[in-house]
Amino acid sequence: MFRVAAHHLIFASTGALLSPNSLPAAAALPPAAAHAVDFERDVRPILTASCLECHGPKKQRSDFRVDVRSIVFAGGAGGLPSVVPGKSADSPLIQYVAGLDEEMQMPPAGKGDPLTAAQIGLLRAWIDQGAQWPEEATARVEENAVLWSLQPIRRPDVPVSFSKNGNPVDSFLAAKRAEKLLVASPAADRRTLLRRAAITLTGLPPTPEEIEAFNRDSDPHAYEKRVDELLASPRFGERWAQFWLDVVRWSETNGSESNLYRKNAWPYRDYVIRAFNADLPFDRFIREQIAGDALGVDEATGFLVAGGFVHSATVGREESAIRQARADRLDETIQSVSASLLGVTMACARCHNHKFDPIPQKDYYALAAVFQGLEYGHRPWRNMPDATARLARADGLRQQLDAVRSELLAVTSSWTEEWPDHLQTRFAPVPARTVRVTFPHPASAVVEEFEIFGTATGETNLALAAKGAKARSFKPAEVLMREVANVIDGKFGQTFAWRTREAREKADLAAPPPWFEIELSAESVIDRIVLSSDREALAHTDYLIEPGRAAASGPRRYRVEVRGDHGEWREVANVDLAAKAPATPEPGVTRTLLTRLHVLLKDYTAALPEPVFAGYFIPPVKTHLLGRGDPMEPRDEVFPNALTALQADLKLTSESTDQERRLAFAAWLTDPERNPLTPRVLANRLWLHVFGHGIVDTPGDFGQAGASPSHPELLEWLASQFVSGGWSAKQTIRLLVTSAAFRQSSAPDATAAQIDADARLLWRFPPRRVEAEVLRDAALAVAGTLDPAMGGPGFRIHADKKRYEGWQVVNNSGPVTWRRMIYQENMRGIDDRMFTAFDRPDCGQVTPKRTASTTPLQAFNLFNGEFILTQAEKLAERVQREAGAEPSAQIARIFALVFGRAPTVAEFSGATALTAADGLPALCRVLLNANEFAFIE
Amino acid sequence: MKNHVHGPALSPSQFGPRLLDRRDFLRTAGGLAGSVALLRLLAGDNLLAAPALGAVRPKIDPDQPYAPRPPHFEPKAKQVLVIFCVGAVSHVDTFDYKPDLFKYDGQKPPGIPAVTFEGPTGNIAKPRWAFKPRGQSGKMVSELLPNLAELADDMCFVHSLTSMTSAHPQGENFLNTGFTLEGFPSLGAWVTYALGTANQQLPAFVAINDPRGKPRSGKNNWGSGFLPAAFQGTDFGAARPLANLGRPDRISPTADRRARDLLDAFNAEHARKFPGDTDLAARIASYELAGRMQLSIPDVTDLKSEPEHVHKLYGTGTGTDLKKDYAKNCILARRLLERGVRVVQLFNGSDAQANGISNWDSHADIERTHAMQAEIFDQPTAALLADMKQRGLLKDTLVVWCTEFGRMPFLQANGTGRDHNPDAFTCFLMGAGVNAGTSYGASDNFGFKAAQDAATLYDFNATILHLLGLDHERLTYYNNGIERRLTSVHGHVLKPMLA
Repeated sequence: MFRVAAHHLIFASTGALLSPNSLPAAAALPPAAAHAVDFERDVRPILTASCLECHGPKKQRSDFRVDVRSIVFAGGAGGLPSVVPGKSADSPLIQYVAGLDEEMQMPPAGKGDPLTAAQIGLLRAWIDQGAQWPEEATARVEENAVLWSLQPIRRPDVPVSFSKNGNPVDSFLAAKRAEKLLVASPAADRRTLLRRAAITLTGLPPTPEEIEAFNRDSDPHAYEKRVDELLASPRFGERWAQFWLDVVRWSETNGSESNLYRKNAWPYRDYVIRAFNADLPFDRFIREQIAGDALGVDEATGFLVAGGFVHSATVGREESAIRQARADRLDETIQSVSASLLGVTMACARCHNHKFDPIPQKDYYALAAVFQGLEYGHRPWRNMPDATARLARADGLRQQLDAVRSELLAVTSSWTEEWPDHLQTRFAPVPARTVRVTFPHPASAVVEEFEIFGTATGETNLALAAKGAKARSFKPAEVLMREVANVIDGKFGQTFAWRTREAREKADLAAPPPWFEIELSAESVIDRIVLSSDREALAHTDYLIEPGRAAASGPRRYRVEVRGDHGEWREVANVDLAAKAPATPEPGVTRTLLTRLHVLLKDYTAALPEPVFAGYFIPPVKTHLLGRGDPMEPRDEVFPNALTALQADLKLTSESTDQERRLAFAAWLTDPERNPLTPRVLANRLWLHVFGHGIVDTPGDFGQAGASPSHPELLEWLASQFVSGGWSAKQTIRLLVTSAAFRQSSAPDATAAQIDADARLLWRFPPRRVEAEVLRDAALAVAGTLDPAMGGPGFRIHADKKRYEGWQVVNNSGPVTWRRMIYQENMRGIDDRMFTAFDRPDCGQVTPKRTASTTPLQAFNLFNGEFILTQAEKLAERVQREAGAEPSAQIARIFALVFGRAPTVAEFSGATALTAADGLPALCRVLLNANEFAFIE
Repeated sequence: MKNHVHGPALSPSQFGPRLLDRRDFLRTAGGLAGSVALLRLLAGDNLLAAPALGAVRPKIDPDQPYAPRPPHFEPKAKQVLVIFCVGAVSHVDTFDYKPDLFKYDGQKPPGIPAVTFEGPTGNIAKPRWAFKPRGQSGKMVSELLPNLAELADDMCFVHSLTSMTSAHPQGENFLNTGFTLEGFPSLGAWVTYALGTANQQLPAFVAINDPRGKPRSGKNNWGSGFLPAAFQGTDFGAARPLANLGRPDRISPTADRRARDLLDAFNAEHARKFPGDTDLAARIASYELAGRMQLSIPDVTDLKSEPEHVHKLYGTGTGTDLKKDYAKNCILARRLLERGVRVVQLFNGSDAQANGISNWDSHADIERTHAMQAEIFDQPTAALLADMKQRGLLKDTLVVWCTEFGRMPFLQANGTGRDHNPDAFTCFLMGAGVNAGTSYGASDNFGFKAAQDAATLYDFNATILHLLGLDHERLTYYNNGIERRLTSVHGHVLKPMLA
């Protein structure tokens, strides 16, 4: 349909499209010409003369052009056809040129004369006669231009003439090489091959003993046996999980200003490692990551919230900023999903239709709608390994707590429980309509969350604005941050609290002390109130020097008064947490009971199942397309769906529940009949991490702007094989590493290099530098210090910090850090002062493929840094233990451990000289810095 | 392991259809979002597959990633010093003189929003410092920065800047990387990627953090994002040495030398197996470069060689401890620029508190807190700029003074501070190629919103790149489906700011 800029705005403001049917009747149209019309003779000249200026090659106002058949028929971005063959009166083209709607007059005033009745009659006749538009080159062009990656997956025949060893991968590769007159290299020597395979599969080099055994093994399947062992090793998952975590830029902090630690984000990391080790079928792996909450794997949805987000405290209070932050959170999720699983870059479509790929802007918002029920944060980890036992234990402790409370009630009218994240003041049940809390001078008071609980309403908070509660505060001038209504808004994060200043001046002290009061919607019998600040952070983060203020430095003294519907104010509690003795008739007994209670509280809190950082789910609101991506410009409602270009129809609406949406989307993702992208993207990714280049070298972008596949047939076959083999990553990887291509030498060849410098056609195995993790883990492995402990919380290299401080690296080399690097607590955007320089991603943006740069900072870190120096010393100690006192044996052992081979004569003499002068650690330091250690050959 | 440094950047154009520069595409496509059908057609008609007209890809030798590379056109400036005041400096209290603020002081005229970043708004508040005309240009500058004010004739102000966000870390990201989100390459990384650096003995891009710590968005401000890590800023300060720079204490200089020599020998022997392999050569070269930097960095950070009068000029011995330390960083900045470091980023303000303040974020008691910041900032910075001028460094060096946004002309409700203002703020340029003694654009009569020649930070960054001889639309890097730029898809060079 036609849309000019002015109308565009009208649509935007009403959110509705003008329907042609709403326009005046066809009676107002000039009659159709009575003769048979010919497009080239009768129609095209009119379109060219009157429309082409704005809707042709030069300009495409409203995305429309009249010189391209498909666009005239399909319409512009709005999607309504401008021509309805056989129905000229219903065709917007006719309605606009006839000026039925003044707003839509075409050509618009000033842009050309209106069409004559005769011209309109010709156009009408053309449409009524079937709108014949001669086929032309454009049809062929459209056919060809459809993106290869969106086509159904084929299973090409393996080029048999090239099949020698029976591995289809080699047959495809050989066929492609033959086109360029390239041949494969001879097999690599066994040591090189084993080291290559071990690092590729497990990220760790083989031991000298393993190399020795492999060298001696005369079994023709010796290599395959080793591959199977490596694939079965738990180290495999630790290696391959990292690739996955890279793509979704998984990190254990939120990023942004406070960059708070995400308590219990690590279960997702462990889940990914387990999935790879167990060879969880990838389709299952995907479904769990999208909808693990429905599949019994709560931590798996850590995938959806792997990206960073801005904490509500630093978003700002403007409506536009709040909406933008929400849109940004959904965007992070869409980035993860599209880069890791779809291989299409949705980012462009946030603001406009994709420039290169068939991704209309609507698709972006359809995906946003799929995840509209997702929010960043924690939720209960129901499948935590010991959840059942924990719940049982917590239940027991809760009963004991209640018993102590009953005893307390016998000796005191009120008491205050100091929970880790809030204060709870309990008192004898009392009818209350209004509750007032007063904070005596001079201390300041901060309250962000306030709750009231009744005897008849259990765990339901009565002090909620949503339940009709009202908040009032004395002396608004004392309130520094926002109004008191904030304390009953039902939010539990740091959200600009009600806060009073410390009374410093005499006048302050003379004034009545500050207070706030909450009026409930109806009188209720209540028995406790809860005060807290930033409870969310206290429960959900860690390593903060000032974790919230309620428990540590929050109010220590306050008075609680209540008033019923009738009657006077009545004090129910006078709290002084700093007091030496409880102000009760029996302070000794009270204190003993309180001590017991707090011990129980601590145990109880520790026993509860922990929350996991895997997102939580909220009732989804309607999703709207956002004009230019601006959250303040909501336009048409968009239903949850997958990609239009794949004719996806998830049969969802704005009424669909959150879980229905994600389950339907996950099912679509993993159905190769409906979605051919995901198997291709995954097969390519496995290839990438085996050979160093993807078949598509832009692993997150299979669109027009991405790289074309170097071996299209092979990728098709591999994707098909991946699916038919049950989505098994291990089987696919096994196929690749047992290929002759993987097993060949990496020796250079000047002639071949001229044809294919990067060995993309695999005329040799392309050597490459190892990643930061391999360098580090291999150093630990050869030094014999690697702690193989798997899973659980990571090791820390950072100090605790204040909320708005950065993380400081304090220990990146000590024994606690000697686990594999995947277990290093991964703080977003932080330089670890060691391996960040080695292109370790900063987890800001998705990283479908790491860069590998070379910089002197790497040399500083590796040559001078404490980590390698320590490992060099440990390696020297190990060698002294294992090789005895003889220097030549020691040197041989060091070479065996680090390079997996014996030293050459020249190396031996150099090593001997250095060792004699500066000791074994000096030699170890050199070898751990050597190129041979840092490259896979 | 052939083209690691520029690997992903070249891949799509080597193996797939080339990208058309977006601007050219827009010209073709009419400036509005094209329909899917249109795109398919264009792609099929090879309109999209036209040779890349836009991107100028620096030819990077992995052996020497920092080797000087030619700019896109003759540059006005060869180096750049970016002085970044963290926390948002109040433009209406410094460089953007607004007489109406005196007139309406204590009132709340219509048009003031009810809520800004931190909450409810209060009344208009006049500047807390007196303004005076300065120099030949008569530029009105406040007494908050009396020393910098003396240099007004050398500055070219832009008063109509706007940001996309009113939150600090996002604002830092936006100013320094062109995106509010994290993980995009910083200005310095882009420049280093494009131009390399003159002095191979020192890092190409140095970020000098405030003595108190890092800015609020930390490493994003000097990070390489998805550019190769080689182009990230190296962060050290006068009193904060580069991590792992020094020879470890327990290894003697001769032992260290012997270890290096043996490493070279081993690497050379290993490289013989892979003749012509640039990745191996690059790694060998990086150790040589590190060896040289191990000597040159301590040399440049050693301020003892600076004469007494220089220390006095910068004020390393007077004022608060923070000011003394910041003054040392100012000397270091000059020493780095003198030695040809391509990009020096000098921070004033951080995320960490010392002496009760951490940066310019004066939500409370702006009179006291801005004054405390100015005490640290004014004299040493003015000394640095005057010293650079006197030494002739400004001929080839562009100086950028910036802050992530401005502050409100009114106070916060019941408060004594000014909230964030992303809709109007002031930065200035100085030095090579800059139209000195002039001001570009204007905010409205309260300094509340940009009113005349509104400019974006995209424009500001485009102008900086332009002065360095770089076309912001052609300095691109392919990442995850998009040819990324410092200026996203926006930005116009602010020509009136150019000499």
